[in-house]
Amino acid sequence: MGKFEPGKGKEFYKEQLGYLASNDIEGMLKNHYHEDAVMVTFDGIRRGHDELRNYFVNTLASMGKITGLSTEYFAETEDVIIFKATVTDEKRGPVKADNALYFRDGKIYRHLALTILPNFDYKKFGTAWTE
Amino acid sequence: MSWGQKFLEEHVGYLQKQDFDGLMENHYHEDAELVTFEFVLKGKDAIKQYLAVDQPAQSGKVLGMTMNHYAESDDVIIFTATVNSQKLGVFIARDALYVKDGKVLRHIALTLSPDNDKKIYSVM
Repeated sequence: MGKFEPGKGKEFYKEQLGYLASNDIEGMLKNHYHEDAVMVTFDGIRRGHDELRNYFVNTLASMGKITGLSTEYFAETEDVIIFKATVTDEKRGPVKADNALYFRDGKIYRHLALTILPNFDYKKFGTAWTE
Repeated sequence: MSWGQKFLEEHVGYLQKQDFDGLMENHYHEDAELVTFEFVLKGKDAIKQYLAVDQPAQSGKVLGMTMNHYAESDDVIIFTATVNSQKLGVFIARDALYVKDGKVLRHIALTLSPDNDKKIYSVM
């Protein structure tokens, strides 16, 4: 399907999972991410396709074989998809993925991930709130 | 203090003072939408009704709130916070704000009820 169409969020989401499962980062960036896309997470901000490519390549490389994937919650509007999923791989174990995608022109314009990774030092990185 | 921290501090201030008119006027875009797993609210009137009436009726008085994680970009704020409320008890708020022209265009809440939250995060 390529571009996101309102009412077809689950198809877009499944396609996104397919790109990741087949390690087709180029296809995913070309078809799913706006050229001005920004990903905002507690472990870093990635701006544009080059930084997103590095992120996805490094993240997939850091993961072991995926042994489980389940989506617990999903909702969509005309320009937003939100979901909660559990991704289990042999290296990291289960990771709860909390994501929101905001679309512009049918592509992901802002990818907002509230996922908390195991063994990541958020305090050192500066995104653990300290006051 | 960064723009996002200042914005969030003001946001919480409006809520604490129950100044929902000020909150809507100064922090929410004309085309704002609140997106959750339970409902979608479009426009300031619907969001104000929820924040001023429906949410307090559901959760009761907020007894305490502790910020856990926070990040921002040029136009996005994301955060998680532990909230203790009178009726729901302790739950984790997971929110993302997409800000356009200095106002929230999309308020995205990945928050679940305490029971549902415990169910899916207990595997972690």
